[in-house]
Amino acid sequence: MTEKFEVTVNGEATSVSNQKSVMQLLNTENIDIPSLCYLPSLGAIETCDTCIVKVNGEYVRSCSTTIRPNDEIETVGEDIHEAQIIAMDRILGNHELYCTVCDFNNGNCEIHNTVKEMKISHQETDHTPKDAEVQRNAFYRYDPDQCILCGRCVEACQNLQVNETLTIDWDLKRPRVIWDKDSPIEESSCVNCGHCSTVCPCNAMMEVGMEGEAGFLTGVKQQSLRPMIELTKNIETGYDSLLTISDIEATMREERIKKTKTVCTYCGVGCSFDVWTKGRQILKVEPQEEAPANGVSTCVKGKFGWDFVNSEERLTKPLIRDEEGFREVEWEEALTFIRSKMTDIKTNHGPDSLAFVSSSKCTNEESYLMQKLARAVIGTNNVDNCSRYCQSPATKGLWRTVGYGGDSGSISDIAQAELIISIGSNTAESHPVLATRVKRAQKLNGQKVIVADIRKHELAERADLFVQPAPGSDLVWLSAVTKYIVDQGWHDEAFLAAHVNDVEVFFESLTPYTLSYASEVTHLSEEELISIAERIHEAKTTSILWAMGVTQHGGGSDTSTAISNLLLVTGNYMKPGAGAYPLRGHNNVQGTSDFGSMPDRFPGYQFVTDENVRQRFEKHWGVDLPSEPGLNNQEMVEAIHEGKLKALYIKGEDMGIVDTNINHVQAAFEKLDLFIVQDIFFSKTCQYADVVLPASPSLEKEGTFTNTERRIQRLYRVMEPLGDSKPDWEIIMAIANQLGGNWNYKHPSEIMDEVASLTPLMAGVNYDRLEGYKSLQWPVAADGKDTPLLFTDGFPLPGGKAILHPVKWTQPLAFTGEYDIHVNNGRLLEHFHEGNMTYKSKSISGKTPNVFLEVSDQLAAERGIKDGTKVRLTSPYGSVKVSCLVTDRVKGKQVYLPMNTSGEGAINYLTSSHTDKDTDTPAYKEISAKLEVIEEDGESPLPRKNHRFGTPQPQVGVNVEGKWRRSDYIFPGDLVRERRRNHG
Amino acid sequence: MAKATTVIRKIDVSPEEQRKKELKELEDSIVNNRQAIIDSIHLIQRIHEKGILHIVESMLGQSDKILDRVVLSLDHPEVTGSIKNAFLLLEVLGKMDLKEWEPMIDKVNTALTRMVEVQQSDKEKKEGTMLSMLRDTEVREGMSILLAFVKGLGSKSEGKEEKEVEKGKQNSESRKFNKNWLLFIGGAAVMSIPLFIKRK
Repeated sequence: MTEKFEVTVNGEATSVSNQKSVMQLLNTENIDIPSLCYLPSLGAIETCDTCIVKVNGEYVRSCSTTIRPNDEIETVGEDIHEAQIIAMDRILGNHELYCTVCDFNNGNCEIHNTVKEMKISHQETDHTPKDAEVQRNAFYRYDPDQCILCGRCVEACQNLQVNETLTIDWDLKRPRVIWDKDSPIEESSCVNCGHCSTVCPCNAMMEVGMEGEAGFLTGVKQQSLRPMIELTKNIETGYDSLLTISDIEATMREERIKKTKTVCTYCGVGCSFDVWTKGRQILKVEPQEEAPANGVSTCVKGKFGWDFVNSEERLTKPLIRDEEGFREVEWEEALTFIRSKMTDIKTNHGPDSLAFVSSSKCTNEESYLMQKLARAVIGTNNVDNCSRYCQSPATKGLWRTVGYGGDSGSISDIAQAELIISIGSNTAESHPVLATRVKRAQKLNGQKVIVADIRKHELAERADLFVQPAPGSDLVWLSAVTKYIVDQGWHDEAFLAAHVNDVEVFFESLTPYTLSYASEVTHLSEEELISIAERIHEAKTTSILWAMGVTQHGGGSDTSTAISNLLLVTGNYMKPGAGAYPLRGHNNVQGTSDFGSMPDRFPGYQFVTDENVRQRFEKHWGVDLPSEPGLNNQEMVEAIHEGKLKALYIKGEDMGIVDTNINHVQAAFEKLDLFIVQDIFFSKTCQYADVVLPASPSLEKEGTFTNTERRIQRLYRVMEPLGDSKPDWEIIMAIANQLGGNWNYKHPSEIMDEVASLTPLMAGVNYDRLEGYKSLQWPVAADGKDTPLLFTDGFPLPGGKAILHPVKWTQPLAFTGEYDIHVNNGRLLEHFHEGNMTYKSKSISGKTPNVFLEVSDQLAAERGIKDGTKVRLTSPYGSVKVSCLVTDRVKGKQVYLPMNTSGEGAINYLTSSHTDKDTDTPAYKEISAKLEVIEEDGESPLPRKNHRFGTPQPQVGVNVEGKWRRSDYIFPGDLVRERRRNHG
Repeated sequence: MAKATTVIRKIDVSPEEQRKKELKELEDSIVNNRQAIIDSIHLIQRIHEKGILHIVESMLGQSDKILDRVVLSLDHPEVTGSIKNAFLLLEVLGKMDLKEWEPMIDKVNTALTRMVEVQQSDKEKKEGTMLSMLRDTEVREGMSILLAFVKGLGSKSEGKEEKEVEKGKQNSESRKFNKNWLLFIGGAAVMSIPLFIKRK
């Protein structure tokens, strides 16, 4: 309903075309009114009362008042100003203005700026301490004496992150923010996502990295600080001089403190933010509202997990192996060594005896150069990346059905879907910021969430419907639900007729998937299956999210296909809020494949077997190119064992830990003639290398990442490479040039330009269009038009139509009697994968020092296990030793072993080489083991201060009604009206 | 072709080599910036001759304690009061519209001069009764000015109130301050009236 209507603002008529708040209207009209608690990402909070204006003669808060036709709005007037001043005065009563010695005085303190704009020179309400201690943990601290009770942190925690830890206790004499039921932060459910410190308008909630570091005088020790503050207050005649001096000091800070935009290097959500640094010291991470994927949101890793960049364990010099181990060398020696060995092997055994593995953590440009090195310089298609370990089945399923192997839309689509189905994804821990959008939509906007997972993780606990199918049986219930929908006549006939091929054949193929068959196989009841179907039918838009629980199985591609089939049958493509969302794990797992590090595809998924394509590349690169697809990383391991593969060059990948069946993989490494490993730390894989090359992480280089939304974003260099480490693209170029490549890229933008010229999918991508927080979602046309929502013009398949692809169920691996424990595995929130980076953060390691095994109550009772019991798990492929944690997140004989370790508890000592039949993705989730207790007594692997032991306090937002109910509260507008009445 | 190993031998940069490298860096820096360095050395020499270097060195060495002491001493009400008053005085100066007052200042000057003359005069300059004085035009003019002044003191300060609301804050402190000024001037004016009453 976007009819225009008229309103008057300060006497002038304006027309408004949609429902806005008064504040939003005033902002578009460029009329200044003060506001402190309002933040667009959070909405109206109504705690500060400074935005008061008059509407139709009544004093109202402009943030929460919707405009109606014929409203008369006044923003100028003594009485209005008086009301705003009253509100501001109350705020100053809660906050000591000592800007010059405050770490937050960097030009963006909202209290400082509002005092300046309102030209306030004195306060009537004196500031008094609240007699409450400063709350502090390793990441951030809360100073109640500075807290203005705006409640932004509570709103963010309750309604945006939806961790529901923070509340304001309005019933205290002097209200303040509390954690859980007023626990210390360390003992609460706080996950340290950083939202509170990001949204706080002042220094009350502040990152520990800023304390004492941001200003020129803020490092002054406590003893002198208090008298200095008192002195300044006694001398100041008004706030004008205070503000002037502190503004000068804030400007001076810009000389020392650098603020650089980067994209997070951890997960596939692709959060972007500014990093504040003083030299190499990281003061804080400052998210920006304009960041396209995350806005002001982050998780503990993106906000606080950057210690690894300055870790002493960083590789700073190349290493070459000799008889006694490794020795440090200069770059020249390392490069010469590589050149001579690679040339030898290529000459004696042919180009296909070398293989290359790209990293899903490195940039798009680096992926492109790696595959160019393999193809153009060496002459082999043996190049792959770690998406093989996780996402290839999803990509395959989507290629088969809809033509593009990527998320159908953006995170905003997921937020606006009416129904979310999450299958095999621990979204709240693996994609935290993406999960916040789901949690928020469910809490505030009535979104419904169905979770299908064998484990009861956080999203499962919040689900409207939580089903726990038998492991590896998702294809069956998905097909049964699809069949039920078709039988009921609920399928979208119009959509199928207009946009989908092979419909009848597909419907035929569903015949075996009756409800009773499905119920038998999956152990879900028929009611549950019908309920799922009904909910899909009732929702106008459904988005299905899935992750490793689906893909890391023998039938992973087929299950992904079944998901896409279901979406097609119900018409859930081609519209906002609907579609398929395989959640990409690494920050650049999407991009690494997009840019060609695949054995059978060039950049943009063009086939190496396609002669026209190959000729185009041959022309540009000036060489002949191999036409046969190469080996993927699973095949590489076998080829090494068979003696066919002699050399392996890996960058940014701890293959010796994250591949399956690592006993087998590590044995393969030992057979290589030449093993080059490029990494930022001396990982487990490095231990097997012949040459180790020191690389630079994301903060030390330029480039781009592509997140799960197909969104390409630029990262900027924050600091120089440490020691002799170099950005990966420079290293690859150096090696290529040793072998006659003759490359001379001076900056990654040149690499991107080359890719764009060869790749229709990215034709319009260039660094100018990606400047700052701008981003592009592929396909990008040559004129720069990108594609936030896919398929709006049809499907990139014959006839522009999607295809329904029949699939059959692949039974998961069966294990014989003694291997009776099903070992589920996956990620944790606070450690990223095996923890190579996050363990370098003392704060994160402090809360989660080890890996642990989740054991159910039943199993614990049966086997005499309690918290801290050490057990050995043995599979046909290897064994691990790990400490137990008893929890109800798992049930029966299913245990959960997270992957955060490279030590004796590493899950992949147990996993097999069994893979998805269509893409060779290892079936990590199909593993069973036998369990023996080694030591019954031991310390719990998870310390008490881990957030999993906290007790969240859910409520909707900051509950400002609690403030209004207080006997000492009177709305400033009412106060002004009374005063005017009394004065006659 | 290798077994896993964690043995890493760092490059042995002999202490001599390291020192040589560092010295070369320093040398380069000095040569590249020689003019600035030479000038700085001259400056430092001057400072050294005056003994200031020693003073500064000691102050920095003891800076923590010195800072504490300075802050302590500054934190006396008289000290903070006088610094504050100095700021306030500057502000009041800003508020006074001295340009308008200029003609008045001439008159006050004249008044003061006459006052002094009368004081210093011998008894011959006496004027007579107050009533006869009132016939003097100069006296009448002076009285009307004084009256206007008195009237101004007694007026309801509406204009002032408006201004204060515009600034946004009832400044109780500065109001007291203004009041004090007014009382002082008023008192001074009253005190000077006897000077116009003739001494017989």
